[in-house]
Amino acid sequence: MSSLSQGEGFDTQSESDPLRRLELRICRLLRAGVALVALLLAGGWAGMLWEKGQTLGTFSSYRTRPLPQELAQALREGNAAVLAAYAGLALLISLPVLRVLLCAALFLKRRERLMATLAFLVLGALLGSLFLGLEL
Amino acid sequence: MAEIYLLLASVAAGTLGAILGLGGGLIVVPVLTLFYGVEIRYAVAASLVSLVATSSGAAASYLRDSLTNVRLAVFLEVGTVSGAICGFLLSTHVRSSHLFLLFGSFLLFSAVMMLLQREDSSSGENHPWAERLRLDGRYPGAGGELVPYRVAQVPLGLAAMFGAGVLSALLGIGSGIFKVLAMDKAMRLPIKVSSATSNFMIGVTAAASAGAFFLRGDIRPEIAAPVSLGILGGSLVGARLMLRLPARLIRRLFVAVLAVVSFQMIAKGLA
Repeated sequence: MSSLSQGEGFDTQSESDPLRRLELRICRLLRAGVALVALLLAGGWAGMLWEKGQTLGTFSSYRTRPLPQELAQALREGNAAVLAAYAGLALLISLPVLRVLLCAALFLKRRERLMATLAFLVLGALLGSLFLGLEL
Repeated sequence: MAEIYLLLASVAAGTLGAILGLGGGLIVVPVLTLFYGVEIRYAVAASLVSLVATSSGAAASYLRDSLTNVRLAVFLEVGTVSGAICGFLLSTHVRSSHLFLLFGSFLLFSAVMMLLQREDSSSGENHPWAERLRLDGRYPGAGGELVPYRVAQVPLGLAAMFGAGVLSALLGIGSGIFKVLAMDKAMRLPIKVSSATSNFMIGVTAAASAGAFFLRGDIRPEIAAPVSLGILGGSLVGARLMLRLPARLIRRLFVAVLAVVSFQMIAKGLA
């Protein structure tokens, strides 16, 4: 029994069920996503260590710079390590967003409008929160 | 070399976190701030990213089991995500010293909660919202049979999740202890179901504020990369070690460490 089926007792344990197949696809997607993130972060971090050496000591006080400025500088300098690390972080943060989107799609497919609306509400809040980071 | 030590410390945090059923945030934020002198806002942001990593890695397994109540998780995420957004907005106004005080107090609370025995509680009937959204379910009992459960006091649970979301964004933690407490005591869910559902929600809660912290520039790859890689690797090791180690002894030792660290964080906040 899948936990999505609670309440009505649909049998989605079988892998022949299209919804169960979609759940398993989500599993594989998340695993592949985490593996790719680990590769990007490891490569980017190793490159940054090679180029800059130790930098942890520079974060003892809070002097933040918005991400677009950081990315623009990395692009100007052609710093592939920084770009890879930021790509890994961006992909990592987008994984739960993707998970909520797929949950919403599952509920829509089941014609469960109320649950789908709630999932889309969470999705909207997740996407909206990004703009808060840009504005501040 | 400090970076390599940070990676190793994060592996240890991830391993310990997996053995004790905690996120790595409770461990890694004090390590970054007390041992490396990293400003607490950067530490919180790095910890949030590591929570997304471990939760996404584990979500695949959670989807396979029958313990996670995905319907309930999606519903409660409305509370945790909106709380996390409020926590992010608050974080720009809260002073670092206050964050240390809040973190220290939460560590102390977590230490006390880890000492208390959790007892299974169940509700006889569904709250009307649970009935409308069909939030109740069944979970595999000790003999493998499916045991039905109901969901009580849904609005109270939702309010508690809002609070958990605020704490998560402010302190860079999963707030799992708080979430499980609300689901156990208020919503009267079986312990296994509340633990699994709480774990499933952590990544989404963390992502709600991590995205904003990321665009604001608080998530520094120099800190977040070793922390995330370490905690992710450590959680895989911890999951394998979990069955072989004396979890009760480790838990007691960890509670003692947690208490000492909490006093250090509070002292730093007061200094």
